[in-house]
Amino acid sequence: MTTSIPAPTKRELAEASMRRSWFPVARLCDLDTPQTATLLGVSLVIYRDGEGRISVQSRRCPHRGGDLSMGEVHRSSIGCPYHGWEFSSADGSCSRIPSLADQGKIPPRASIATYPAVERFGHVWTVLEDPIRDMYEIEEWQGLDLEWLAADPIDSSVGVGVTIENFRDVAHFPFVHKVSMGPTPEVVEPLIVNRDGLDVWMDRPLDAGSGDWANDGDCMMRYRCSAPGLASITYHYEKLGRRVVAGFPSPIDYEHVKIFWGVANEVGYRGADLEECLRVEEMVYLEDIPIVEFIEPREIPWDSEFQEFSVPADLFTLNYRRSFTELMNRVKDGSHVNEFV
Amino acid sequence: MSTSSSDSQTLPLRVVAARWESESITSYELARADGGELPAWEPGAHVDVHLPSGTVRQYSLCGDPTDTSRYRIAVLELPAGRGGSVEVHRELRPGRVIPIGRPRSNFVLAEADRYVFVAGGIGITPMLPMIREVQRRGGTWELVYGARTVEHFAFVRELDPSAVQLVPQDTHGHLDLESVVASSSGAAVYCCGPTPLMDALVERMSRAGRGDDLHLERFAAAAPVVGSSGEFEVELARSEKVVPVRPDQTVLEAVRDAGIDHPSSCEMGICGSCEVKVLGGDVDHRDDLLTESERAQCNSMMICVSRACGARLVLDL
Repeated sequence: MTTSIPAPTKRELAEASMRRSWFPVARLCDLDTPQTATLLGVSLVIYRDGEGRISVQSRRCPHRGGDLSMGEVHRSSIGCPYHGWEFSSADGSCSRIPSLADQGKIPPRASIATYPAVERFGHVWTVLEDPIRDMYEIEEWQGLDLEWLAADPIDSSVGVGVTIENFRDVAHFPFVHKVSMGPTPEVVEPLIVNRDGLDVWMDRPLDAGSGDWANDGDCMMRYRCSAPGLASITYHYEKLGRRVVAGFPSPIDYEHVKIFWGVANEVGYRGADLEECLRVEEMVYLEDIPIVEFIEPREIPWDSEFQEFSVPADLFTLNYRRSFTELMNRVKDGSHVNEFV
Repeated sequence: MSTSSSDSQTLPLRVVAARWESESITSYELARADGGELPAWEPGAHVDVHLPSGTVRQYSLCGDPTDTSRYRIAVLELPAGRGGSVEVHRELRPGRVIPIGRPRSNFVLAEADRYVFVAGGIGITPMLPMIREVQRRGGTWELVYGARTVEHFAFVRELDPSAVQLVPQDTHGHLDLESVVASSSGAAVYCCGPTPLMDALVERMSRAGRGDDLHLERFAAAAPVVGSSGEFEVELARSEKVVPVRPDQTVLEAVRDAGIDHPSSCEMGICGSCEVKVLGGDVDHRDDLLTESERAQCNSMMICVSRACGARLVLDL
């Protein structure tokens, strides 16, 4: 008699692929004190140790469950606020137990999990398990000297997929962004969407005619997203140079994200400063949140739990779903990226 | 935000020359109306040609990459095809300005000591700049070039005759692929042409354990559409049924008529709900979602719009 293991649902594959993908867990500008994050249910502490190294580690002290984020940061360790146990910022091993006379008797397995920490786009990024994709490299930012300003993160009770699709959707402008963008055409032109592996992009001109950017002149926008969780617009102004807005929703759990996001200007950009760019982008983005929060279901219905209908204006979204599906296929095929950045 | 323009990926280029190259093949030279420089490209690259009807077709660039003042494409007129090539021949007259996509490439010339190029018909086009590049690098190359009759060989005058073997099908039959495989040992093999030619070469090269040496360009536009009546059969492997698909019917409809429930949503080839694994046969992809490399791999199709190139498709249904 043989028993067969049921094939994983697409939701299970989506969750597994996110556990093996990079997400931001803190803003670099907040690291004066230890920060906390929950990534796919895993409680994390993020801090810069006395030597300047950034660590991403599990937040629970394995002694009696103290919250390490409330503890003290030492030269190369973090101490628990409860009994002062210290854990190495490099590898999470227990390096000191104050109550113990003989430090040679530290329980050998008393340690906290340590995850990779990469500084990129104004944030600290990590990955929970063996990565199936490299850290994001955005083609149009290669060779560009970008200065980042990280926005206040936004809490949103939908999943990574729904959040990214909102970033990339152009058909909602005349409805959701009536105030910030003014009247915009309802009919969406045929979208020319490109997809290569995990990357999807398209170029659109920004009409300088009206709205907040009226004086900035002609601009091409490159919309990009990279599965599972990065969406960006790179604005290329003929007169001013390049600027960027990018969002990186980080899953607290499958149907709840903390949206880290930010703006960047190319060094030498001749348009508005970073604070002003952030102010305008935030005004637009805060219009999305109350609408998107009530989307039903709260994550892409991968297993056709809900029937959806699509039209050509959804072509970017549909391509994003295919790129995400490629991640799931990588999980299914058991592939992995060896390079641990 | 403007929704008025979709030309972000395209350049308005003027047809500055149309030239008869051989039976049914015409080449077109395209340049910027202001005489400016064009985006650079590499041998093997192709461009999207946006035809007045809204049809978009990909054609290989077959001019000289070092000449940035103009692009050249060549198009085989296929009266029984899907209509793109006929429209090109009808509409691309000198003087006409037409949106052309930026060059893209899936067909890159790898480093090798020696190259064997295998062209079937209009498949010669991506080979021309590749051959020019190999010559520029001082490499050795040979070309095996098959066409229906001697009248169908294009661009032969541009090539060194000592390296070219012409095989007209009416007098010499099909290309001798066994001897291509045997004589190309150690060489990179590049092939472009009708699907059956490429399939046959794939099969022989893999049998010889040399699949990695073979580089292909599969072009829907270059593949002949067999069964121009539009009728074909689908074999539903899991259900063990063979279902005819009439010209006025989609594969999805035929599958449903056979009593098989299958999901669909947009039914215009964009959403992917009806995607089906293809186990055999060649697909005439008509969706807007698959990338070119996914089309070339031909592992799946959107059965709401796509059809068969040949007489039968085998689907995992």
